[in-house]
Amino acid sequence: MKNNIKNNFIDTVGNTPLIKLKKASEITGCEIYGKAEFLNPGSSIKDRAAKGIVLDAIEKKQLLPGGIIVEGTAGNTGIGLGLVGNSLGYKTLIIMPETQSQEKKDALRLIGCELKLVPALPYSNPGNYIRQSQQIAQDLAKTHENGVLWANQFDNVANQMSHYNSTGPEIWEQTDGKVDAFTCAVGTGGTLSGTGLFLKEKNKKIKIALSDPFGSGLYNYYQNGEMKAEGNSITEGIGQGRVTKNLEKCPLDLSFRISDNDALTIIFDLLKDEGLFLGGSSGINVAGAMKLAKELGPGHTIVTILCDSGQRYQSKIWNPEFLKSKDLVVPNWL
Amino acid sequence: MNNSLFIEPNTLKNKINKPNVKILDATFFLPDSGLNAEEEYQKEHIPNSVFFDVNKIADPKNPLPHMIPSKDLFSDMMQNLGLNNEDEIIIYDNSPLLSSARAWFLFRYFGHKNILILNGGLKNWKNSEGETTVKKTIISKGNFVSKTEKKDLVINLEDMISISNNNSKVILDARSYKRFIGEAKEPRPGLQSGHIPNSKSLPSSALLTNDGFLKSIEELDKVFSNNDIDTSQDIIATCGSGVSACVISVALYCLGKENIPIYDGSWTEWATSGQKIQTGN
Repeated sequence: MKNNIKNNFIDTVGNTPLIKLKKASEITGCEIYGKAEFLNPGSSIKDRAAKGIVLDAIEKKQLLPGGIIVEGTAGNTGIGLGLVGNSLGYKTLIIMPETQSQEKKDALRLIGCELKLVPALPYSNPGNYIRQSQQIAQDLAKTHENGVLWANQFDNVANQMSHYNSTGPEIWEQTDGKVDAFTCAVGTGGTLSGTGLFLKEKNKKIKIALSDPFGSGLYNYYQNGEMKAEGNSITEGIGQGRVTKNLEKCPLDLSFRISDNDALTIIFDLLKDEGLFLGGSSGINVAGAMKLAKELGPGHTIVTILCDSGQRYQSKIWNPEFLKSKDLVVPNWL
Repeated sequence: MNNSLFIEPNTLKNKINKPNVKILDATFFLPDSGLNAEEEYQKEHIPNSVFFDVNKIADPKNPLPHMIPSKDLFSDMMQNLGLNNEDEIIIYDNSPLLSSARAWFLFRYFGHKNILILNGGLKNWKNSEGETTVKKTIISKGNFVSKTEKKDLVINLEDMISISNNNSKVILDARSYKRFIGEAKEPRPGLQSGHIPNSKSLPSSALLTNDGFLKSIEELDKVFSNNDIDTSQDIIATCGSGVSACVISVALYCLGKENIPIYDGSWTEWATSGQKIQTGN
């Protein structure tokens, strides 16, 4: 659009730049680019899924004006859904484990989401926050004739389609079709599957790789068929212990497992040397992109995702006390 | 060709990676073939397909081969294959249509509507340069729930005895003519050949082209009229164990007779339960 003017919030989601990651590229001899998803209006890649899921529900007439969006989420998806809801005139109800940080509860409340806090229970328990969100959505649907959308980001494939329709094509165009490989971590699987499927459709030779944190079962699952998690990670919103519907047709070629220390070292360097202030999942992704570059050899173009801004993690990965308590590396200037 | 029933390989190629499109490999072999369908599936299948085991997607309590399971069991099994209520289901096999027809029939019986058969099966897929793989298909448990059981699509032994005795409906037998007249052995050991009194022979092969496609509507019409079968009458399809009978059901579906039932116990039940057996024609 002329003068880069957007009509509304929804139109502002996506079309993020690719940023060349200088040090990662130099070390590996590849061109490594990060897709600057922290520049989305809700400050994370989850704006794409939130937009895709809500627009899909509107198109399918599951959500009519005055309807309610319900989701069990502890983070960025809630923020994305709340903002998309505000911009389109839907109320948003977020179900969240009560153990989550005050920062996140505050962020959702200030956006205007209604928050329901529930005890932290495993997925196998019907009281688990995700499963409760489904139940609450079903109960609300009985009395709300304008529709209740259970966003269901893990198994609602509108999530994956939002990346197939936007993230994938953007990367293809931004690299003039020269992209050789793409990698990112998996939470729902929407980004990796949707982007991967689009890129593979354009060129089968493009490699798609998983960058998995410790504490996630996927690395073992793709390596030897066993969904088994080892260790743990302070990163948030990534890692998975089951095959979600968004992960089902993921065209995966390679898997890497990344330690928190590797991810944090990269995150600290990216802020100090390249001015990029990012969250922990971006560190996992860039570390994965570097492993991928080593695997493919110099001269390749590799793209990954810079998921969200470091501002949401001041009490954790940007807090030396917290890092020390976990025996993790600390930024040398803090 | 009937568009509401078949999908062409080139159309499927654009769909195999789409979410909510589920591809089922329903490959099946008769017990005397020496082949194992699941092993064949593992050796080669369409990407993202899952193995639909005609022998196991059945009532485990019934000693007869692959009898229709209960609604709950079928739903459970389909969930474990990753199927969802909103999925478009596409079935293929490596035989000429036989076991795809059986799988199609099961989904119709359990009320799922969005279901297509790959025209010409795996052979036509490969001839159309369709990709195959050995790669394991990764699935997420689905939410498939069967809402109905169309019980009028299945005839039981008791009804069959009465229909045969009274010659009240047209019984079409899809086995080979030689098995029908009792000249060729049955593939199941110890099973006598022959046919149900008052039944007619209509081998499934008569409904298929040499390349394994279902014949055109015009040709199918001709097959039925040449065999003196009045398709406006009540028809029941039977065979050895309820697989190739489904090809008759599919063929008549294409001719506008959408609800042709099968005798699920088929020849295996009839011949082992002491019923009258006719040989010759």
